[in-house]
Amino acid sequence: MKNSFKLRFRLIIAFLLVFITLSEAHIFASDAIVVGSKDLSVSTLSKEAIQNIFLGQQTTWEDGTKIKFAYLQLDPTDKIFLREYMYYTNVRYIRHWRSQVFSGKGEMPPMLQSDEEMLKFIKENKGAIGFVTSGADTSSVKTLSVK
Amino acid sequence: MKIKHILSLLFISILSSFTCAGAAEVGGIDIHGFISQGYITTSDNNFMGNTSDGTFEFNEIGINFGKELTESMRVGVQLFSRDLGNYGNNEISVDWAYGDYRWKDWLGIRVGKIKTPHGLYNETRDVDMLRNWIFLPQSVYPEIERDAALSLMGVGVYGNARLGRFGGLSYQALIGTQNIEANESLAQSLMGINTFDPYMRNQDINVDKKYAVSLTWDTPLNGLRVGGSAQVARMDLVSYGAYPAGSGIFSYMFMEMDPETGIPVFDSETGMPVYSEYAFNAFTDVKTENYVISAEYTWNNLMVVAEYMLSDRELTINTQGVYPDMANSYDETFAYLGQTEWAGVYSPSTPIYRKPAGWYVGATYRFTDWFELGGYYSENYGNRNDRDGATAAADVFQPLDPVYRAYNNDICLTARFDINEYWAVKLEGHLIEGVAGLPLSENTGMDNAHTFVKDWEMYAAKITYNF
Repeated sequence: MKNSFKLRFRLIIAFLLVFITLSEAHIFASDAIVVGSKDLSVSTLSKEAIQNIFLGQQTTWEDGTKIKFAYLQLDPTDKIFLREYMYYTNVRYIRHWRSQVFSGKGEMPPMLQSDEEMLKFIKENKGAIGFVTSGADTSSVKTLSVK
Repeated sequence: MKIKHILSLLFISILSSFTCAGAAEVGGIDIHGFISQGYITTSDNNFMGNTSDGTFEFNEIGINFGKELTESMRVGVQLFSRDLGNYGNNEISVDWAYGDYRWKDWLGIRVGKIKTPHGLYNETRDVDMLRNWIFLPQSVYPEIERDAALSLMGVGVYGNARLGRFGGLSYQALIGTQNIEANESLAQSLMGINTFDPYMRNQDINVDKKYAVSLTWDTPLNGLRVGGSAQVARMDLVSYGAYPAGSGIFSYMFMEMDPETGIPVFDSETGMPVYSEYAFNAFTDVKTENYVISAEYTWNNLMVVAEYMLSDRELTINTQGVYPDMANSYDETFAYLGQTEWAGVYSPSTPIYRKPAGWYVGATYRFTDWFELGGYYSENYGNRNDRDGATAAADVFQPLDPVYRAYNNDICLTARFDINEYWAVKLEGHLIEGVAGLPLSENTGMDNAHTFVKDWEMYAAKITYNF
């Protein structure tokens, strides 16, 4: 019985190894751009800073202004943004915030459905940051470069 | 009890219909919730309930309300109800409720009923939607001790620090106490069904102090986080055991005696001693320490995780017998023998030490937006210094029977199907060797002998919804 158990264990491990080595196809054009409100004192952000902000770990700008960020739930812009700037998948990102919500540690960021909604959010909130699809009219907001 | 359950389901259903599957906001209060219903069946052995016949007594329901009072302060509460076999029974409880003031990113404070860290997933263990597996590995997240690891009532500080190219650190430190229902799993595990025999039941459990800390390092390698957590608690248990004549580990103490001579009475036909029914209370001081180290790596759609838990338990048991009509104290009954105090087989000055340990490695992979496969291998030991149970099985007073109660090796495979962002269906299978962590009372036959089977299988299905 013990040998049978070990054999089944090995078979399952082998199966797991097969699927985790499957290659993935992630071919995205880099067409998500980070935007912020015009009052922001920064014009460049590191990827690390973007991660910290969008995971809720950095809550204020260096000048003490409260950070308000929103998530654009628009495929494929959200997937591109998460992959390029945060090394996250959208499933993992949403789970992160649900974990925060259901353990009482945080509140979901606004989940916006279009570039227009995001631009409106940025324009109306001091210290706001978000991302939009490249090509969107960003004249009313500040485009942030990412290093 | 069931009415509460139905009302809860109704409430969440109505609420979710208003919210069109997404979160709700009423008067500036954010409302989120989740509900899941599962089915468990086991080939042999009962896992926290009558699972060998299959059971739908497997659900969780939660709803929370949160409001940001200022930019730095928020309050929230989550109501929770669950059923898992004989535990929970859909009684509604406050899962967490606290005020949170975040002064700086590196320092915030929470006051109230707070979820406590234990490994990577304890704080969200009841939210099925957040993971691939239906059951977290029992080696690190044993269901029978869920209520002990879950939360505390007190105060905590938390924060995170950015370390530049070295990544980032986040921490929590909490202190307080905890209310644990006497009939819940931990109490039964510590002193009763899983420890002595099926006759023992807990009447009360008081947690004097509880501490919890965690430290997580988000390493410079994107997707890799490592961490450690610890929980330390001091508690008192009041237990009661009522035994038929000749049953239980102390039965030899309760032979019928001639009231004049004090000599044991023997059956004239069988020549065997005549026993009496008896009962006793046990007052137990418990010190528990749980430590977990964790590592999780996420790369695109692949997640690999490993955790190791080490526990130390110290139980000092003080017993008082009540014999034989359960009206007179043991002291009164046996005073004529010159005994005025009995501390039971276990002297209060001789604590019992337990040293459980467990570990697992697991992985999940998301193939498409709607399909994710996962699995883990988990090993769980009741005593890390006696992993095969050989020493415990040779114990004179209370031999471990069967010996494979000493361990539990579990291979799990889970398929998760996401219908959409809010609904998911899961199917899970387990191949298990050993029965550590299974309640004895759920696995005892009419003849009071155990019904454990060494190699067994468990299957579970679950549908879950959140908003």
